[in-house]
Amino acid sequence: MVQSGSATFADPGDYEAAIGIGGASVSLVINSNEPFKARLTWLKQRHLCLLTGREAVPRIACVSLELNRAFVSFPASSSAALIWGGVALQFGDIVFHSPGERAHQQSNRAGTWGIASLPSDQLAAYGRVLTGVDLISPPVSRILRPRPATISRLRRHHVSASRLAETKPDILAHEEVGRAEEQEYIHALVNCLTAEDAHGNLSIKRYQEDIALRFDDALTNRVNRPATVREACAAIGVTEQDLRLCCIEVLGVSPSRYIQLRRTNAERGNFNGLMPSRYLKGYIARHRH
Amino acid sequence: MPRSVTFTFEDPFPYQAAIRPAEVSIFPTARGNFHATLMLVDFDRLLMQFANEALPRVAHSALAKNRAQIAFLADPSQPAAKYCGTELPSSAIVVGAPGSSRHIQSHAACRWATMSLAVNDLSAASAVLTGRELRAASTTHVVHPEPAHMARLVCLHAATRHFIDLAPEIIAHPEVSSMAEHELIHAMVTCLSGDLRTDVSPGWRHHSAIMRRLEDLLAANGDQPLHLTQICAATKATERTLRICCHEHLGMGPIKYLRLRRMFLARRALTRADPASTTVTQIATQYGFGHLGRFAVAYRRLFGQSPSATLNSPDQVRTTGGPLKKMFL
Repeated sequence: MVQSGSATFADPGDYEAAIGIGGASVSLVINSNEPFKARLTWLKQRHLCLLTGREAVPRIACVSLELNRAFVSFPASSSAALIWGGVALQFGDIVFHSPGERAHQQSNRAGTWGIASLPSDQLAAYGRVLTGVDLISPPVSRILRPRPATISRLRRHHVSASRLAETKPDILAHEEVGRAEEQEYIHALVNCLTAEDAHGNLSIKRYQEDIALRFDDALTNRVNRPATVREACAAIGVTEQDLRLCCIEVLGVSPSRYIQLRRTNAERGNFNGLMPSRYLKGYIARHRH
Repeated sequence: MPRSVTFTFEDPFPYQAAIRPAEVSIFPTARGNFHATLMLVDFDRLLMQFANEALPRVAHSALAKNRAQIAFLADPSQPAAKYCGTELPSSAIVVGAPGSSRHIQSHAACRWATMSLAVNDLSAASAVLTGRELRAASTTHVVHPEPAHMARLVCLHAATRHFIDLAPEIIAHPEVSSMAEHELIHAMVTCLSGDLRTDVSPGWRHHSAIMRRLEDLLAANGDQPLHLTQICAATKATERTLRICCHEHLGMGPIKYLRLRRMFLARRALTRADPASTTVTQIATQYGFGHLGRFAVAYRRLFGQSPSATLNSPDQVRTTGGPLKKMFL
């Protein structure tokens, strides 16, 4: 059974929830005063699940992935400036995620990204059939740089499937069409996953990502939530200098700015949650003073 | 009674159905209008064929189990074809083992000829003509006969076609047909006599086995669209190996071949469908084409007409070849 669709979001909370369709849970911190606007296209097939996100504002996302699925993500447009775990992704790079990974992904401007996932055992089986080796998710995420023709084939299939999901869901629901799209996509994906790593040793980045995640966890904690950078440093056991460096690298902002952004986003979320109607928001704006 | 018939085809499906004594699948590999003529001459024992094709193509043929067949290029001036990945010049003959299968690809317009005899007739004729019983080949292979023998075979084949073209009724004359058949069988047996077998490498055998499994899978799945992962699993070959095999035997990669096959399956479905109750969308989606605009463009590029034009084409184009084959058999 194929599930597909596309929706435009003005509320980050709804967008976060929709991304959950793909087996990834996301928490967004919007890094802009511009109104949030995003479009998500999803396609869920027998094994393969595809998401395409188009976002109009820069943001920082804390992403948690399902344990039993293999995930691959990549910038889907050349304008996207994505940074995964502190590593800037080039257009043409793909991230082969580790099972159940948690990490930050930030974007500096409007952009488009794509995610593909399928059950780990299925990916292994497809890898075995097509390449002769089991393809298993790496223990730590790898950033791969396939040959241009290989990655553009994957992107082409991603765009093609997304377009069908947006414009012709009834055709995509046809068994043979769905199967053809899925099989061709998996073939392109497997070819990409046999590529070489784009970056060398990323252990420093992983250390920084680990601190950023602990910082995020501390800020999410409902009990003893740190209100200042100093309190956060004490809570996670790092120096202010280390935390600052990690935040700049991984989140793209200083710790104090991140705390402030989270607070602003939470307030905006509360506001949206209380007043979901566009007409009501307009009413409030008109009668604010 | 000996008889001959010549067909003209504008569509590969009835054409492939008319070719004997084999089950043949033909996929033209270049855009343009398909055009082929096929001459069949059925003597008492010998079956002779000549075909003239306008488009390059890849063909898979599975020979009948009770007949030994030879195939060769009928025009020495035409470019070499490829038999299962090896060059097939006009000086060579493909000796088909009964019940075996093979791929032959042509790179341009092609004129080819075949001659076939029942297995027992071949043994008997060779015993009489050379004093040695020629057994039907156990595997299909290419031989390079003596140039003079090959030239005689090609000339006799051409001469026979020529006099049948000029006066088709002459074939019904028992003495003329008997003499022509005898001469042709003699030329065939002479070409097959001697130690002519070409050595093949173990790698070639391995690749041929993969291609046989591929064709078995395609045959078993009739008009079902197939995808690369299924093919890799069924042929027990990785994509890389399969790609090498397909380039050798088909002149194209497996993805292109599968796509071409799907296009031809869709075309066959369009030619057989009732335009009153079927739409192009139904058939395109049935064969896995989701982007209908792209399908229409690719279809027109390959077949020179739009899918809807095929669907709405007159009934005579809807021939599937079945009646043709029955008529001649």
